[in-house]
Amino acid sequence: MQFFTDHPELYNDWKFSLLSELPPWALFFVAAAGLAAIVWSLRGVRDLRTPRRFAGLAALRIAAIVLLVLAVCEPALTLQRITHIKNRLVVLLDESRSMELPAAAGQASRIAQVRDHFDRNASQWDALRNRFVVETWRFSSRPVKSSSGNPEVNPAGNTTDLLAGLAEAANDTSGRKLSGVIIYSDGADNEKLAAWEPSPNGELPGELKGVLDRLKAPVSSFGAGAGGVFTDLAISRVAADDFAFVRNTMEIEAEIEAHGAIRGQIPVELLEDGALLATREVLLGEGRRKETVKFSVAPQRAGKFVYTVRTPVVSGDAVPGNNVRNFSIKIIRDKVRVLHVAGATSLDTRFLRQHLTRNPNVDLISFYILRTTDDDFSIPEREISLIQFPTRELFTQQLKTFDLVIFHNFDYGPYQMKQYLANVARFVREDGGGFVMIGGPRSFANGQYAMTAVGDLLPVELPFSAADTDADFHPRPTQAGRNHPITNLNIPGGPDGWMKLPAMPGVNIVGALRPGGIALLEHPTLQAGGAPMPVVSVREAGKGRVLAIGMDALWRWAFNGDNAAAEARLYDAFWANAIRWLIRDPDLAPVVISLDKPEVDINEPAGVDILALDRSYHPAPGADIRLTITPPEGDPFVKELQTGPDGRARLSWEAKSPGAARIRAAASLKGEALGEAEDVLIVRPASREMQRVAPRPDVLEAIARASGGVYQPLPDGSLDRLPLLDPEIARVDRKEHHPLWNTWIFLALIAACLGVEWFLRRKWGYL
Amino acid sequence: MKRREFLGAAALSLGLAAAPGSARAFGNKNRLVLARLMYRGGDPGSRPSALRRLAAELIHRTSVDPAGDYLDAAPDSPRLFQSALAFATGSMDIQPFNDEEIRNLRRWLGGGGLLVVDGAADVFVGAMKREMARVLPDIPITELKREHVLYKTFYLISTQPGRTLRKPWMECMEADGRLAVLFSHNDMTGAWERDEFGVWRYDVSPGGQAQREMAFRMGVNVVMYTTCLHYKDDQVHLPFILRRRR
Repeated sequence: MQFFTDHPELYNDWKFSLLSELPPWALFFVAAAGLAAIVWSLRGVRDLRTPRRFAGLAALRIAAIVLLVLAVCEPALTLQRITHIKNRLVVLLDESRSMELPAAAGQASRIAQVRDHFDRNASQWDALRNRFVVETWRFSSRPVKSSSGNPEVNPAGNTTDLLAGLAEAANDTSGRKLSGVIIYSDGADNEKLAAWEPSPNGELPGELKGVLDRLKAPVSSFGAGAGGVFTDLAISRVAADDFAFVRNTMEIEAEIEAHGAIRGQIPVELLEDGALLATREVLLGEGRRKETVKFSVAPQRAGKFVYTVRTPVVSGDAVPGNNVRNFSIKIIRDKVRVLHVAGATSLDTRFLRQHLTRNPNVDLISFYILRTTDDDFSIPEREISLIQFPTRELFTQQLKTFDLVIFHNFDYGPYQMKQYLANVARFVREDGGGFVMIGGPRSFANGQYAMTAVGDLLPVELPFSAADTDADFHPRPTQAGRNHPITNLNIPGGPDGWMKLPAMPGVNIVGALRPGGIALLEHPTLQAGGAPMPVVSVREAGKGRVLAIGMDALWRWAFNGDNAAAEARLYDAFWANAIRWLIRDPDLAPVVISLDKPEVDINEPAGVDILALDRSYHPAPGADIRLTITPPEGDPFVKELQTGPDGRARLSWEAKSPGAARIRAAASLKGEALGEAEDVLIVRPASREMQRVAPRPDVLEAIARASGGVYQPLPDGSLDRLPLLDPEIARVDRKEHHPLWNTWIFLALIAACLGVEWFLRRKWGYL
Repeated sequence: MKRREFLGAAALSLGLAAAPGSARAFGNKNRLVLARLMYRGGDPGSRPSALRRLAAELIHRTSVDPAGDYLDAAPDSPRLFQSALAFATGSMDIQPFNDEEIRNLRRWLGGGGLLVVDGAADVFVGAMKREMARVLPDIPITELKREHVLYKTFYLISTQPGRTLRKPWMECMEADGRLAVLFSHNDMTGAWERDEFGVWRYDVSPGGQAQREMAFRMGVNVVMYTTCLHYKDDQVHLPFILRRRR
């Protein structure tokens, strides 16, 4: 090497190479030509007398031709400096909270097992660091790279996500090849591998298989806590829907896990708001480590309820906190039961019926008067389909089964119903039912409702005598009507868009608004009590709500040649909104509680946001909020808040004990109550990490087996047994070419071959 | 007991829903209007008094409060939307609908309109079937089953009556679970026609006046269907109707 360079220390390798810039096919042609020349030249000397002479001349000719071909190829000596790159070795250290648990009863913690293993294998680790670039990652949820490389971890993570750790190992961008992954963990994954039960045939979950395929390296593991006896009874999983329907059966499924010496019948209880609903027993023991219990419950009331699944705490139970699981379920009414009574059939009746029957959330019972006493009664009963109007049954026995009653152009007089009007009023005021009166020739004052219990429910005063007008008009929204959920209809063109809707042909004359009445749509010219006459108005009456519509031609919103109104589905939107408001749909409540998270851990800040709306459904700035929090344990406490310009107030609170915290917000504006709302915050007795804490050596072993690694339980296990891929990548850092063909030696060799060959032929007389 | 209460009680005791007459002060524009489809070609005005007669019978027999006169509306007219029930009568071929007529009729039928095609001759019904197939190309024309609510919306009917009895069934096109088009071959409106002196304009055969009465009953049922759809299919009505059918 010194012969070619003055700095041999810069190179550690050499090789021959060809510097010719001719393309490969040209070089091939030259070589072929050289071969042909050799054959041709040998034919010329094959008749020599002695083999020695033939061999001498042939050798000289072949050497000359080969040297000439090489000269064309421009041979060179290449000096180079080659560096072999170290591969990566990734170490994943589990720092979840379960690593703090004893490896076995009376023993050191799982994380102590890990530290001890590192200490006892310090020399092997030094050897590995010489051989590889060792990357150490601490993982719980999102892996964090450790700068020191030592197992100085703080096991405080609230989850164990093995897949996230492995994915991080696969995501390297340094360009180094991965030689292997070493996991120190108890394997108690509670993320995507939580439900995985490794099978003998080695089948892997899809996502895990994808990560291992990307790694292309053996994943070995040391299992913490795997060797000892671990005792724990846990509710490892609860499956329930977020909401269910009143009187409909819902299923709640709980998975019970037992580890250690637990065996026998274990009672599992289900509670609703602290009251025992049902008890099931599961048989656990050898070969029955995990069992599922199912509860079927038919909730009887609407609202948000706290459900609890719990098991007893057994002797030696490592984590008593995972024997209880709280969760909340919103119980909603399955269908809105609507009683639709019409004094005559009309297109308004028909389109409202069409809307109600199409709505899957409505259970419609309707009674329409098809024939009045003025009509022909001469037809025999057997030839008509009319039936008796069951007033007594409807308005005494069945009334409370409805959520909403609609009187549609209906007069009570002919049906001896006056005695039942008080029942309707009680249904609204005391039972919280909804009531709608729709106008027409038989409705409002025309139906003689003034001074009746039903008339007193209405948002407007009624004149004593029949009163209506048949002049066309366009109802216009009031200020309240523009924001109220019933009439906030996003009509194309904004408030002016109302004027482009079909005109209403007539209206029932009503008086001024009653206290608490709110006009949503008003007549453009008629006055009542010194203000525009309400056409559509609402009112809270006791616990219930009332809607009054002084027209019977709203169907024109649903059926007209105006595309814009039809496309806006104005009619359907109006009635859908009205029904939701009348039945007090929580989503339309004037006070709304929003929780940042429905469930939090103990001492985790829980954000509570309260929105207050005024009676016109505007955000209410400056509203007083009285927030009453009833923690899982301890006395309720009250926080006084005030809403900001956006009508919102906010509180952050930390629960100190597990269970369900009830949060109740009552809003008032200038002394007038706006409404109330209630929600439930679940405070977990243990974080998700502590719900499943039993070591899972089967998971670690299955991963190792699938990737070509080995699994070894701690405290034993040797680093020497780990299969690791050796470095393969070599990088050329420096290179220098020295041509061999253009030296005097090379030329002299060619000349010598040709000259000696000529001399011998002359001497032997072949010239 | 007052007369009104007496009558109400009498109605209840008879098992009938009954009420006094309405105030009817909201004006004609708020009442149910029957429309006549004034298509191009043929004889769309061939039954000039039929719808007036039906309106009068509705007032006489039912709680429905129709306008006294009917509305003439061309297939492409926005006036069509003032009614949800239109009758197309005739006895001859008609001119094909143009694009605007098809568009308007399609919107009207899709929004909730019911078109009753009542033919005095098969050529008219055939022509209307041809055109309605263009208006609602995805909806087949099928025979109206005897169990359909149309046969019990007010009267319990078991035949398909008209001025004639050429076909004892009706055909229909259903959209969105309701009737959109009805095809009658028996000249139902012909049975309703009177002249200026109140005399029936056409003889009804073979059933005579009983058949004419049944034609009116079918007209009442069609209007009841328009104003309360499948009301009589509600569970509460079924036992009564089944008992009376027996």
